[in-house]
Amino acid sequence: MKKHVFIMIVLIAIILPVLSCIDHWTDIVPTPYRSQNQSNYCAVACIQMWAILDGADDTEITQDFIADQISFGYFGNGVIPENIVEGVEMFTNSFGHIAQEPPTNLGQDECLAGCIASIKDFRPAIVPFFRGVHAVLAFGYRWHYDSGKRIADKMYYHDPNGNVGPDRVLPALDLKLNHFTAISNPPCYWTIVARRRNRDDGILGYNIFISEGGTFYGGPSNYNPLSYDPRDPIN
Amino acid sequence: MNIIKYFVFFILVFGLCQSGAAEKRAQPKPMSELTNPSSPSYVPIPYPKTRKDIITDLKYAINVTTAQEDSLIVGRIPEFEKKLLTLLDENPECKIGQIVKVKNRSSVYSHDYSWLILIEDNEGRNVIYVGMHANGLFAGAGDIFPHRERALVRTDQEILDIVSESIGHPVNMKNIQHIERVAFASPLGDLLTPLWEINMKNGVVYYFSLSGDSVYEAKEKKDWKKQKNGFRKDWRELTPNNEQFLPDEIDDKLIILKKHGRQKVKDN
Repeated sequence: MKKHVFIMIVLIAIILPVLSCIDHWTDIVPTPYRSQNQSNYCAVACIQMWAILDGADDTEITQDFIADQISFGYFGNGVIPENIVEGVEMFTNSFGHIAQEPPTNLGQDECLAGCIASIKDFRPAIVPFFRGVHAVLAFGYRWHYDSGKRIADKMYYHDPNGNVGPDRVLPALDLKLNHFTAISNPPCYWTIVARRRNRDDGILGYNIFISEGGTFYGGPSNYNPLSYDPRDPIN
Repeated sequence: MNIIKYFVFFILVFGLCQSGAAEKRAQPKPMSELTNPSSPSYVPIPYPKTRKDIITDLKYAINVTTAQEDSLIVGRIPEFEKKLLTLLDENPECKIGQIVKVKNRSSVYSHDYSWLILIEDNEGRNVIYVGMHANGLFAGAGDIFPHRERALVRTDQEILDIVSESIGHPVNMKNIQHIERVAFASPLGDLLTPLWEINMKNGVVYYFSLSGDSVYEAKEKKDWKKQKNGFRKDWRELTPNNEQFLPDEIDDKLIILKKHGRQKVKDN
């Protein structure tokens, strides 16, 4: 048993310095935390936090005020991207955009990529949690390079549920698998990000996206942007 | 002794043949990946079982997921991560407290349990929680609000007292079959804030949710199997009246809940 533990310690001692040679970058947007006032205000609280980051006064832009202004299609037990993006447009200085991606592994990667690109633009992103039942505000990512591709390691986020709280981290792979999981009809993955400057769809948009720092979980190795139409969620 | 060995072997072989059960969970990472030091999924001790092994994997995870040069950080990382990093120092600012085994009801993880590790400050208050998958990989972490630090480590008896208050009549150990911590892919209780599941002898199931701070009763279980397109039915179609629910992806059920408010306990 002692020998076994000794071998483990030696192995760790050898491996740690090797792994620490990989450079990791972290981008954090200093986003204030506000908890949701009502059980169905998770997305509303995310919009409020984003608005405060952009300079709004939370005594004026209250959660009830935001909730009154945006159209609640169905907000009791979940979130609808169209409602959220409407709130981002109305109460923040960022132009909101629904990154709607196809229901494939690539679609999950692109949701992550969209969030990170938004954070690199110094804007947070609103991420559907638990398949859209809940929403959280992503305000940071840690990532590294692998074979020239940026690979996300983990996401920093605020959970507006006051019993859960601010400053949490989640491995990027868990985020991708557990939260960007499509069940809606038509199936697609989505997240709310700040609209990028001069955003274009298709191959031009893809190239701009990468050149401006779009970061992927796994990298678009099998991705043919020519065959991809972002307006068609089941492409 | 040999009989036990044959029995275990039979169970394992029988389990492998149950392809129906295997489909419900994600495929586990191969051991070659978990034991390969150059793999991002490497862990010093795959599938840790003892406290000592879990701590070894935790320290390794903190190092590979959190340690980094300050010059590569834009903005400020949360304070709790800085505290976590001190666990690798000779004089840490915190220590490892309770480790709780949590039953996993989400199919995206290949294992039926995970670990919730509570980190205490030097005065014994729970300040950080860390999740670990059964295979030893890091599963997330968070800061614990000071007013919530006790809530995470309630005893079974304390939970039964809360349940008694909520349903209005006393519940004790004699009334229940078992009580355990469970994590769903749900805001009512994930790995970092797992629910308490209380199975009563009369068949009723109660949940105490930390994040919802309430007791819920499983009112109905709706079928939630994957459809031909590989996706489950949209939960909105199954909860037309905004009912709260827990998604049980292992049994393919959507558990519709009834919330209980606190009330005075009446003697039976």
